Amino acid sequence: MIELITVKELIGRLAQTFDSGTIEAVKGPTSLYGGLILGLIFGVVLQKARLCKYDIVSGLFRLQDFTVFRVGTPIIMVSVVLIFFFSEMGVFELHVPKTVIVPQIIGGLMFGVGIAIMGYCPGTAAGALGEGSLDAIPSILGMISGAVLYAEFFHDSWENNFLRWGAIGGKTFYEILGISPWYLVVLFLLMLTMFLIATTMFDIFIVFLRRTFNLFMEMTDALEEKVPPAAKPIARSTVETVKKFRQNLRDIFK
Amino acid sequence: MKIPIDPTNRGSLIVGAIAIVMCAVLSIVLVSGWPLMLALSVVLVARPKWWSILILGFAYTVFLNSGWPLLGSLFFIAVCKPKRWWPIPAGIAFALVEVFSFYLSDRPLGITRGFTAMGSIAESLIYPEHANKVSYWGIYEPVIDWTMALIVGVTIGSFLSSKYSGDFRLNTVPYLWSFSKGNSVVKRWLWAFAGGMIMGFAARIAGGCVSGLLISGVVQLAPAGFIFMMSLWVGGVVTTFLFYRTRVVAVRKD
Repeated sequence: MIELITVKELIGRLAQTFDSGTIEAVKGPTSLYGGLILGLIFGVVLQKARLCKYDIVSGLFRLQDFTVFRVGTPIIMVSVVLIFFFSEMGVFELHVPKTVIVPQIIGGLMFGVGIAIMGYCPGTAAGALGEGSLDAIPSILGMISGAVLYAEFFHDSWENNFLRWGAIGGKTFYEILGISPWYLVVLFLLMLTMFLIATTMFDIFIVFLRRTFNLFMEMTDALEEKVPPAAKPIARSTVETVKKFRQNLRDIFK
Repeated sequence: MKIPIDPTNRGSLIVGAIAIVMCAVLSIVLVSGWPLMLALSVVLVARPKWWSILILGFAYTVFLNSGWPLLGSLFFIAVCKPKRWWPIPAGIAFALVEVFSFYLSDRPLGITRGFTAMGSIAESLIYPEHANKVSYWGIYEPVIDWTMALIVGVTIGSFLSSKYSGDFRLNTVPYLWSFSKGNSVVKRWLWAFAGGMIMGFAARIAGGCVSGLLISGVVQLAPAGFIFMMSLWVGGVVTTFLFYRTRVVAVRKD
C-alpha cells in the first residue's frame, strides 16, 4: 500500500531540502565550493552581457561601442544601494580597498595600456577561454608572468617608498567628508541615471549608423554579383582614358 | 541490427565509454560517488540541451541532498537560451552576483589574486628554494584558494552558457584585431602575451583588477575605485589611438 502524504507534509519536505544549513556549509572567505558556485553564476552573467568578447571591450576604447558602459552603470546603481542597505541592516560588512594615490594612477594607466592591446580584463580572459577565444591562453600566461616579474624584481625596492606615495588607507568618501553615505548615494544615482541615458542614446545612434553602413555594403555586393560579365566595362588603354577624360572636362566647362 | 554511429567518431566514443567505465570502477573502489558524478557532468555538459541540464540538476540534487542545484538548473534553462541579454538586465544580474558574493563569501569579487597565486604555485613547483626567499610570496602563499576556484567557475560557466545558446565558436584571432592588425595568429598571440604582462604588473602595483578594485571600490564609494577608473579610461583610449593608428574605426557586422 502506498501511503498518501498530505500537501502540508510535502511542502515541509520540500522546505527541508532548501535548508539554510546547506548555505552555511559553503559560507566564508576560504570555502572553495562557495567560490566555484559564485564563479559559475559570474561566468554565465559575463557571457550573456557579452563582456568576454574582444570586439566589445576594444570597441569601447575605440569609442564606437558603449555596451560596457551600458552594462556597468546599472551594476553600480543597483549594488551601491543594496550594499549600503544590507551593511546598515548588519547582514555583512564592507571591505573597502586601500587607497594609494600615485601607484593607483600609474597602475591604472598601465592597466589601460594592457587592456587596449589585449582586449580582456583578468576576469573576462577566463570567460573568453570558456567561450572559445583561444587567444585568452597567452593573455592568462602573460598576466601570471607579469605578477611573477613584479614579485621577483620590483616589490622589495618599491615596498617602502613608491607604493606609499599618497597613501590614505581604507577610507571612503563619506568618512573623509564626515557625512551619511546616503547623501552621496542619492547624488551618485542621479549622476549615473543621466550618464546611462546619454550613453544609451549615443550607443543606439552608433548601432543605427553601423546597421545602415552594413546594409549599403550588402546592397553593393549584391548589385556587383548581378552584373553579367559581358556588361563589365572593357579595359581601355591609358591614352584612350585620358582622351575621354579631357572630352568630359570640355563638356563640363562648355 | 546495426547501431547508427558515425564511423569517424567511433574512436572518441570508445575512449569516452572506457573513461566512464573507469570512473565507475573508481567510484566503487573509493566508495564515493564523485568520479561518476564528474563523468556524468562532463558527458552532459559537452553538448547541453535543456533535458541534459535538467538531468544534471536532478542528479546533483539527489547526490548532495539539497534542492539548490535543481532550482539553479531550472533557472538556467528558463533564462539562458538567448545569445545575449540586454545591457540593463545583464547589469542588474551582475550587481546581484556582486552582492551575493559579499553575503556568501564575505569578500568582493576579485580575480587577479588567483593569477598571482598561480604564479606563486608555478614558481614554488619549479624552484622551491628560491621561491621561499621571495618576500612577496609571503603575502600570496602558494595555496589553492577561493579566487582560483572562482576562475575555474567563470570558465565553466561561460562555456556552459555559450554552448547552450549556440554562441560558442573556436577562434584564434578576434574580428576587430584581424581588421586592424592582420590575420597573423603569431602576432596576435605575442601581443596578447605582452599586453597580459603589462596588465599583470599594473594590477600588482595598483592592488587589484577591474572587478576587485574598480567595481568593488566604486560600489563602496572608496577613492581607490574612482582614481583607478579614470586613469584606466585615459590610458586605454590614448593607447588604442596610438596603437591602432588609422585603423581604429572598424565597422563590425552584427
